[in-house]
Amino acid sequence: MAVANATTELIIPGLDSLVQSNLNYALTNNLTIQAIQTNLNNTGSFTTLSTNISGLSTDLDNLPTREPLPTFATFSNFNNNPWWSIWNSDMKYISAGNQHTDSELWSPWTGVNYTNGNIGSNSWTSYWMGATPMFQADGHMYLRLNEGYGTYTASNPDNVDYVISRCGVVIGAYGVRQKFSLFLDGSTIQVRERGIGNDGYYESLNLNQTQYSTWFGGTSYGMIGYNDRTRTLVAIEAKDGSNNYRLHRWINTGTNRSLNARSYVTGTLHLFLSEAKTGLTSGGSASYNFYDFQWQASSSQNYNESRYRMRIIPGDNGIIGMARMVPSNTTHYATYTPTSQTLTTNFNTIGLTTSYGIDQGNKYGIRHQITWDNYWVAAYSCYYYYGSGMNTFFIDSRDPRNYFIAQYGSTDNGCSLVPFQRNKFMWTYHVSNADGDIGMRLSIIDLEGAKNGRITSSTISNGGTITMQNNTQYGLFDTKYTSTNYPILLSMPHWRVHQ
Amino acid sequence: MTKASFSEDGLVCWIDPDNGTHELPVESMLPHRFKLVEGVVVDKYEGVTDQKVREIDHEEAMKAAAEAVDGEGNPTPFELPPLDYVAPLPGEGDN
Repeated sequence: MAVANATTELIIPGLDSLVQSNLNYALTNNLTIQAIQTNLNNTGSFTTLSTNISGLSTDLDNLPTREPLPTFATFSNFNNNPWWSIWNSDMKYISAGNQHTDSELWSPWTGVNYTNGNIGSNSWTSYWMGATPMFQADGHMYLRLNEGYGTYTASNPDNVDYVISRCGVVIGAYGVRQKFSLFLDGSTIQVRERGIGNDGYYESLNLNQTQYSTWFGGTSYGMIGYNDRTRTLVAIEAKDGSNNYRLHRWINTGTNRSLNARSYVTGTLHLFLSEAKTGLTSGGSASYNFYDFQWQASSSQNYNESRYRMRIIPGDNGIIGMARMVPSNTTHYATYTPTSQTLTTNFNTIGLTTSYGIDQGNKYGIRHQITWDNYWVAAYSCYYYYGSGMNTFFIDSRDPRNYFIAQYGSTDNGCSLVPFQRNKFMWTYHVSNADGDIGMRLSIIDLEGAKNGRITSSTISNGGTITMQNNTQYGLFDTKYTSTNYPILLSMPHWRVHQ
Repeated sequence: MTKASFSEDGLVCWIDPDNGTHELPVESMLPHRFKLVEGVVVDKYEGVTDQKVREIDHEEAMKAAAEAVDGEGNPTPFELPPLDYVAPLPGEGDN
């Protein structure tokens, strides 16, 4: 035994060696300790465990995890009094919030961002929060709502507009929301954080390189679409101002080549493109092709919007849908079939009155949304001038030949369309005052029902007209303030509260 | 003649060539010019062409643009492009 303090140490000779001897005996002869040592010494046990955990982690990451059904917010901002309620797809109130009005990104647009008036033919001047082109699957140009009071949720619309106007359609696996924004401007392709602009990205490449494509050198303002179910990326460049296009298609089903992974790894886009170009990948197949065609109709050669800003929907069946706004003329649709190199344009069209796209600024032009199941893409533009009314193509991403059209020919205010339940959209028009005993007017658009040939109390066939403003639900949703006000719908950036 | 349908209050029209409930009194692709009054389709622009409708609307829109104010009442006037606007190609001064 040894006793010691700062000044005195008591030593008993032989005790240390006795303790050591007893310990050695125990380590050598105790059956439990022997069993532990044997297990620890099994060759590769920890290595195998570590490998298995790593493999399991990869498998879990690759699982098409379904996410909560969509949530949405009813938002109003009467005279700089921004409030919102958050609802889930069961129409259940789950949270609410409001915005500090003395914040950096909110206050510069005080007066522009109110909801107590109609925008009519005006541009980005007043009551603009509810303008039809302010919304896209990537986010709202001005608002990124959270739950909670006194939050800071505004973004800078003068920056975000450049990004959102150049982001394309991302089609995920069943029930998996898009994880990123897919950006294309000219030959610059970027993987960006969803809804965030204007600077910053996870990966940025120049497609005009032989390792990636046979690029013509044309123009594109976001003519890009990605289908994660088939791992197909399609980018289109306009070869000229006469609607001659080059369509590039990359397919890469290799291991860890999903662009819509929950946690994106920089370099994935480079590998996706370059492996597709060479036709060589690991754990899957890879290919790259390009196709030239012309789609000129209804004066589409006269506007940058219709020259360079198609919405691209790469279908599961390989057919590629393309929706386009021709300002002041029409919103129309076409498909391209690579296997037969066929352009098909004989789809129903939707008429436009005087209306503007990206020619008048990045805040204007065609936009898109997508349902929770990622089966239905809505490509829509305003109907009247900068942001009023709505012309919509609903396109089936499983087979883009399946589609429906819808129109709200308003000259007064915009519309909002948000994902709802599995395969529906919730829609509202901001024309009607929510004052008095009415509240918001909400319509549910059931596209899977329409595909099955039924809509509310009648039949519908492929390409038929869906009436968004019929069967409107009144008096369900209350909103802030008691005077003339025109509240809007917003899709929540995150569908799980507290996520 | 083009067919269209109307909301229950008759104030909202949409062009509906296949299943429209009413024939329009003039050939048109602009639903905002029509309303339904006691079962009768009324053309608020009295039968002019769609192009003329655009011209009439544009007069109003230009006036609204010149008098635009934000929600605080601050003037925010702006100019509208002409109806025959054609975008220059990139590199020619636009976008």
